[in-house]
Amino acid sequence: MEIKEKLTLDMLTTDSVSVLKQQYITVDGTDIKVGDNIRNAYMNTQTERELLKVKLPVEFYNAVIAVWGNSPTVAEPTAE
Amino acid sequence: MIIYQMKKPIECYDTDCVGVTGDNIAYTQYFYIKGVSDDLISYTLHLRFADGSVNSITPDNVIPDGEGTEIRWIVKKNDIFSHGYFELQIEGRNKFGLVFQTEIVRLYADESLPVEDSEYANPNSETVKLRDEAYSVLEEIKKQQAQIEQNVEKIKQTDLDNKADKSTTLAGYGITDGENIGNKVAEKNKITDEDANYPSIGYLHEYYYDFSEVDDALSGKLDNTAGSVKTDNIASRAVTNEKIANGAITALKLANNAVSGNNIAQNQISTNHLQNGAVTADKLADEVKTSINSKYDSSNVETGSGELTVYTQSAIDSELVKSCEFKYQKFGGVVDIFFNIVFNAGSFSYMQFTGLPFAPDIISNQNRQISVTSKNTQMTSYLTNSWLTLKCTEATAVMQDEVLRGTLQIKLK
Repeated sequence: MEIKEKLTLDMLTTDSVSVLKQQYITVDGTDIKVGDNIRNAYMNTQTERELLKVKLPVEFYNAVIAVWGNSPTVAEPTAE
Repeated sequence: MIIYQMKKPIECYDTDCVGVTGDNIAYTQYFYIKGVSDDLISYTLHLRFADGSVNSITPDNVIPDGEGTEIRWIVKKNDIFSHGYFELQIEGRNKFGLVFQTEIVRLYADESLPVEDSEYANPNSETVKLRDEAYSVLEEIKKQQAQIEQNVEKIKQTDLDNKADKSTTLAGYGITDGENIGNKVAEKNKITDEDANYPSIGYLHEYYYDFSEVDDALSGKLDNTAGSVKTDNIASRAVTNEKIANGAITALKLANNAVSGNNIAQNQISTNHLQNGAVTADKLADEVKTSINSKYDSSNVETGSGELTVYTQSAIDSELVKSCEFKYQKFGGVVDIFFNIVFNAGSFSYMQFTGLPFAPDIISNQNRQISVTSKNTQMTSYLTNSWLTLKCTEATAVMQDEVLRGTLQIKLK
């Protein structure tokens, strides 16, 4: 039985995005969700832009970058 | 001499008579000129008649024979203009001019005789046909002529002054306005004058039942036969759910105030008395809907998990973390995060993770909290954006598989 993965770009702003990953199986033509929701948020920093490129398929990454633009809008976290 | 029908002209010398005028001329006259045998000479016969008219004729045939020249004149009807005596002179010419002229001789042409038309008395089929066609054409011409004369007579009798002048209006031709459709209405609210307006087909279709619709409506009514429920026996025949078809009774079918909140005994209607789905959201009072809408429903609750990523400050950070996971519960705009970090042996004073489920919109210092590991190592944990920060007051050692569990809460817009 094939497990299909569905990605959702949630709360996409110029500064951040929350990526929701869900898995489904199809039974008698109906999609049934299996497993936990897996969710991670990413800020528009240089480090996380690179991390996002690794974590997301290219079409989703391009969709995020289309909103985020070509340069980071959030500074990297610093030690207090 | 030329003699037609064996008739000999009176006082005519045989040798001088050459023929007669008219259709009957068909005789050939020969002349022979001795001593002239030159085929380069052209000949002309000059005729002068008694009335003074003249004619010049080219012979039909000229035959020189070495000793002389024979001239053949086939006398045709147009050669001789009038009967009686006439003068003839033969003239010969070549390219240089006149060669010779004969003396003028006096000849005679008799008067034409009536032509005996044997065809008229005994016609053949073609003649009969032509004659019939001629008669037919003649008759047609007569009819046309009669019609022309009749038309001419009518035209003469027509007085153009009695005719009406060309009209410039439709009324002048007797053409009046068609039916006024300005009063036709297609919708009920467009009736402004009930005496003047009349309905269009669209209006009738919209506001009147046709026979099929009446049949359908009647079929949905209770049968008023023996044993059925009527107004005079409804009290004795209780109406139960079994006797009411789904949707059979609507508000429009109830008498005014027949059933209202004021006349229903308390608890008279319970969920057991309602059909499935009978009460829907649109039938609820607005304040009830508002109250319900203020509650969280399942769509506002989300649970899940995730894995944090060490925000690399140095190569040591990643090596210090064996695993870092979290679970979260989202209730509307509030998210509770339960993180679980397992360390490898080492030390650190400051460490950040990224990959929390949401980027919080409201963060305060109150989010900072003291966390204690499974080995009682104390550190402060707090959020910055979607980053989880662990901070110790100074470089702190952690043991292999030492676990830090904590809870954080963030609020979304």
